[in-house]
Amino acid sequence: MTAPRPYTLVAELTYRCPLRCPYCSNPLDWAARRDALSTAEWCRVLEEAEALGVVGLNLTGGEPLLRDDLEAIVSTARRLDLYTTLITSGLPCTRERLAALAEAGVDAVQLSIQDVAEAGCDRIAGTRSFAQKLAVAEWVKALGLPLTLNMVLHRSNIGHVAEAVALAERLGAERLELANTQYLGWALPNRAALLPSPEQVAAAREVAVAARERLRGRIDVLFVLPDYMSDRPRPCMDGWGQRFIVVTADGLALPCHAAHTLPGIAWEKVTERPLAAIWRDSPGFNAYRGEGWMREPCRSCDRRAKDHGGCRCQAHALTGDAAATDPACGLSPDHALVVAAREAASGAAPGFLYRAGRAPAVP
Amino acid sequence: MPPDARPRLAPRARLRPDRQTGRTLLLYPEAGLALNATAAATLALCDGARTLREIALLLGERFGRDTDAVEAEIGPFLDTLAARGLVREDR
Repeated sequence: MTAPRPYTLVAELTYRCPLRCPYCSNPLDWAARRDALSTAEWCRVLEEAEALGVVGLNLTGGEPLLRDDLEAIVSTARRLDLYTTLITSGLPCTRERLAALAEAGVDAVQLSIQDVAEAGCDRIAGTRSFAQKLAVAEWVKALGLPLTLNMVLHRSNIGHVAEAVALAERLGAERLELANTQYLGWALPNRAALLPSPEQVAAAREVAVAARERLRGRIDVLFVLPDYMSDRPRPCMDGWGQRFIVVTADGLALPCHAAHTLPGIAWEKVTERPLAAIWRDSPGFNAYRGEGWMREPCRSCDRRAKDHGGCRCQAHALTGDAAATDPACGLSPDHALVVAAREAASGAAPGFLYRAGRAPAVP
Repeated sequence: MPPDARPRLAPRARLRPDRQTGRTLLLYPEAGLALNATAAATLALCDGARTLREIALLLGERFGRDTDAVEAEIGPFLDTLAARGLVREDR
């Protein structure tokens, strides 16, 4: 199969993080996956990615600021003219470090907030962090860098969208991502605690749509209806192996950050094979590329070019079959699984299972 | 955008050549646009000093086209980018 051209490299520089968010997208066994790539190896990955056509770089993790070679990696990205976004919790960070990173070539900063005030934010992050995040936001603006605020939405904070918009205005953010939780990684065992009710989602959407209209041209307010509520699957990664390459802390090249959860695929390391060969020829990147893998109802669906059959990792996580139609889709024979979870979301919520060094027993 | 507006790229947006296609890309957080020749030439001239009218004049000369026609074309294009926060308008 002919490989398309990738546009964005997502570099998960480390899985270490000072936060313990219960919806973390990192692997459940993240602690067993050491940072495998040296500075030189990351820089080589950037060069290989740019040669393949990549123009955007997302530096993420875990917490990318925990790598003390971040400046060197950013300098290489600048030399390659990549549009580089630092995706950070804001911890640990100083004004001096941020200035050095801006100088080295960071183009934009995406800062996470877990809620709109200290108590909620610190409770969800599992550590004291809110005051530091506000300071980081001010430093970002003082350095003249564009600021995106990202708040992952779930049952405990989805009622605070209006306050999140106000905070984005106050901090001078150019972009506000109101990102509904995706139920993979740590979020899946926490689903009963995190999934909002349909009424909560509808109310939040209304606030976000009004804010988007009011702030057009000043703040880009993003709210995508979550797949669990919309009966439509999300166009995961714009299609498998179409635009994104994820390179993980332990050196694997993946089509998405959760692809390592799929059984029966031997993922390849960027230290063992050129990135171009992995992208074009590896069984993993080709497993669900295009439409050849699809069965009904996807195969003849007029939306298949739009949503690509949804998320392979979600299909596997919920049905045990990665080639199944994403159960978020109303046409999936397994859609009842999502409907049942959605209906249960109106009941009492259990406490969070925080991200920890030991993987939880998945129900 | 009025003829005397002085558009410039917002700090979050950046132009870069695309080695794969030879075209110009407009990059910004989380996304990008592949520009056609007129769009790329337009944004390259948006420095916050030149007015929309002056940009249209320069492009008209370069592409051998009428200034008014160029202005009628690039004005809405810049308005669209301004609405997306990618172009700012100094007066």
